[in-house]
Amino acid sequence: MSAASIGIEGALEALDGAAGVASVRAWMERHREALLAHQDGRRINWRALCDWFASVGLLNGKGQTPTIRCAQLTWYRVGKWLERRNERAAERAAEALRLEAERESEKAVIQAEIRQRREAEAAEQAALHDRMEKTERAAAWRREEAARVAEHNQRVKAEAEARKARAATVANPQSTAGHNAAALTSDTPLVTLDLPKIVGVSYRAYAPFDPTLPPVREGEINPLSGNAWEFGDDLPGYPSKRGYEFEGEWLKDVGRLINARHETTSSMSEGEKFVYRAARGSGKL
Amino acid sequence: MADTNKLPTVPTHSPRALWRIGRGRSGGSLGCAVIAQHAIGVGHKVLVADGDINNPMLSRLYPPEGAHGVGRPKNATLETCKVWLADTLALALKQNASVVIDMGGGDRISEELAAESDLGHFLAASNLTPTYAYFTGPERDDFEHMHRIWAGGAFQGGTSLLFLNAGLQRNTSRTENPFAWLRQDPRMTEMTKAGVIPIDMPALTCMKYIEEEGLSVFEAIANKTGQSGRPLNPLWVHMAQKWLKDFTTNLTKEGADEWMP
Repeated sequence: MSAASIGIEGALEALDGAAGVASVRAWMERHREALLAHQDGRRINWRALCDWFASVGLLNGKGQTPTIRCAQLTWYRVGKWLERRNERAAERAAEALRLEAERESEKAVIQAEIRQRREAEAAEQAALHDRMEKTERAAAWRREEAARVAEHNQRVKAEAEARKARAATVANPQSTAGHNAAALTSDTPLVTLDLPKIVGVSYRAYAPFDPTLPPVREGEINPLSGNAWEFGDDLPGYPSKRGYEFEGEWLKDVGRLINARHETTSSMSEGEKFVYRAARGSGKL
Repeated sequence: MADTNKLPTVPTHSPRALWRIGRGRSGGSLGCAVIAQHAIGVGHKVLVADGDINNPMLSRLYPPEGAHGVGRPKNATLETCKVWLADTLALALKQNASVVIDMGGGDRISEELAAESDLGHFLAASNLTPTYAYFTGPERDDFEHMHRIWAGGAFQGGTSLLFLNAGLQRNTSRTENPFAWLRQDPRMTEMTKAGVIPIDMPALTCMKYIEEEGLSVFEAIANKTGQSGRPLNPLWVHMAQKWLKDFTTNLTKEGADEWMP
């Protein structure tokens, strides 16, 4: 019989025999919890118990009927041994739980990373899509703008040619009441106001304009600056705000023209008074 | 054209009583002094009555013993001021002269006197047409105080002027119109619709340097030497002269010939 062919069963039987199925220690290990539960805190009557051990044939490690002292020591040692065994079992359970928690945590981190990566990819896709849309819009705007400019240039060229043709045939341009004809378009004659030359009044006040356009009203948006007009409506007989980029410039020009036209505010209309006083208060005069 | 307009209009001018209204330190006394000087300059017969106990600026410029001065009230009680005002108006009527009345600001004596004596009707009946000069700075509470007095209706008839004193602007920035906020204010619209004439009173930004020398604006304009004994900086003199010119231009443009004392 070789060592490799010999099993552990024989050794286990020998140990059981040594501890003994009839061993007091083996009995205590198996029944300690039940005995303590039964006693429920009461002291154990070791004499009675030892008598019972003797009657059922339970022996100590030396194969003798246990004495009271021997039974108490064995009981104490079994208690300690069981305590250590329970502690080790608890440690193993805690370790298992910790490992389980670590595994769960790692799993959550990996899942979060995957989610973030997916979100970043989605945002990148959206940004790319947005850029493509913007590029498309800009290209469309450029196409429209180019078409508009081309159309405008064509119209201006046609009007210039028409003016040239008329200038060749008309010797004296027609005058309109209160206005001087300054230029002719294909549809509407432009006019200039009959205004005196005042120091500090800009060229815009004397520029030709289309008299068929309605007066600019307070609150309307100035297309050149994007701001609303603040200082009242256009004043009849004075340059329109339409020809100005900034309302302050209009206020300065019209304020000075009103100042020159009236010696005192008593002869001004309410609109003239408002504009004149606003220009004066703003230091435009 | 401008020169002919500046000729004295004494024969056609009827006497008026200009009454200063507004808080103290609102430039009222200075405004009254400029108006009085302007009126005297064009040849009007004007008495300057300084009833402001706290600020004797007008009586320093026009002392009681001078041609245009009037004795001052002994104290600021309503009764004393009432008697003083009655005597002053009687004197103006007797001399067929206009009168500039500065009762000072910051108290209600002026209002109480006007309400109690039915001043507007009395002046109109006495052929002494009233000109009420309200003064305000750009601060909202100054304007509200002035508007409350105007809306109270104690000062009736005649012509009402609203002096917008830019010199009271607390903000040092001069780039913006400090009264821009008033442009759309319904109270301002209400006043102008009722015929109140708004007049811009420009800011004299070097005023503190003139005051440091113990001089009035008029003394600075006349280039007088201050308490330090040194001549005033020529720039301050120039600024004061320009300020007076601008202010006087504003007065003229707003029809001063019609409502001036």
